[in-house]
Amino acid sequence: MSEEVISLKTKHKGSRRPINLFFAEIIIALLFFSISGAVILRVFAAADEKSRRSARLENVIIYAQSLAELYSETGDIEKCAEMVWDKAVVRENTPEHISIYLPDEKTTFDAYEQSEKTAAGELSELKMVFTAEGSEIYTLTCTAYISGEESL
Amino acid sequence: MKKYRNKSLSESISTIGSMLLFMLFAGCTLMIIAVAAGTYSRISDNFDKTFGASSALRYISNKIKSSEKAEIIGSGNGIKLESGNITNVICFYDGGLYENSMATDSPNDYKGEKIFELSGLEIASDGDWYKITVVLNGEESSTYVRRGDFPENQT
Repeated sequence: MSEEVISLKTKHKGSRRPINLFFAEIIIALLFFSISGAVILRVFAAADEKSRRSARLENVIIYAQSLAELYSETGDIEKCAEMVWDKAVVRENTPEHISIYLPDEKTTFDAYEQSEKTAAGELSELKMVFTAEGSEIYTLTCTAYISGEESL
Repeated sequence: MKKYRNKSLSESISTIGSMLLFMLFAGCTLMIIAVAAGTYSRISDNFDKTFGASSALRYISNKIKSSEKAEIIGSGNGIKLESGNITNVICFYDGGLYENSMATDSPNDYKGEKIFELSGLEIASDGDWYKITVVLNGEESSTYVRRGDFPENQT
């Protein structure tokens, strides 16, 4: 009887070994996949974010070019902004500074204007700054010269 | 007999374990591929939408800037540009932007080569500017281009 019990125990001990190995293998595989998955998902998230940023920058560059084109002729940033964005929300509007929330609601546009009036006309310099998520994403400076006859 | 049964059980567990491991491997791989495909398609769509529209806008505006004479054709879905003795007709037709370059004195009805995939184009005259609006995948992008100083455009 006792011999039989000993032999069973021995056999049981012997069969446990591959199961333990199997669990160890599964745990290592899971660990490997977890780490790989985390790294890959992070890379995908970064790629997605970069794609969004590049799309936003591209849109902003088109806005800036349109504004520069319009401003160089009119010298009136308020009018230019109205033409480019119909539904933009004006945040601040002073003679030297205009700040606007763009329609995507994540980007803000700030324009700083400096004018120099002479008898011949008015020379204005406009610095356009586009900001998203607290950092400047694009800056463009342009000038407009309105001759004396037109500015009167 | 018992020894044989235990060995068989051990082998079965080992086989099932290997299969489980393989299934885990396959499952994780499929999941990662699905996530990658989703991300790639989103990036690709975004890229097409943004850069397709902006490229078309820049192409048309640069053509207008470099031309000597411009005339909106159709209901605003095209523009005829003349430089020297060459006439360029850029128009939206059947889901694409087409361009046809021809000699000014020998016009033809050929619609030209497809240069961009688009969903819509509208060129409107707005004061001293042309307002170019491009529609791609339901999103509109617009830009303003100053009209040339040629006498035909002085209104």
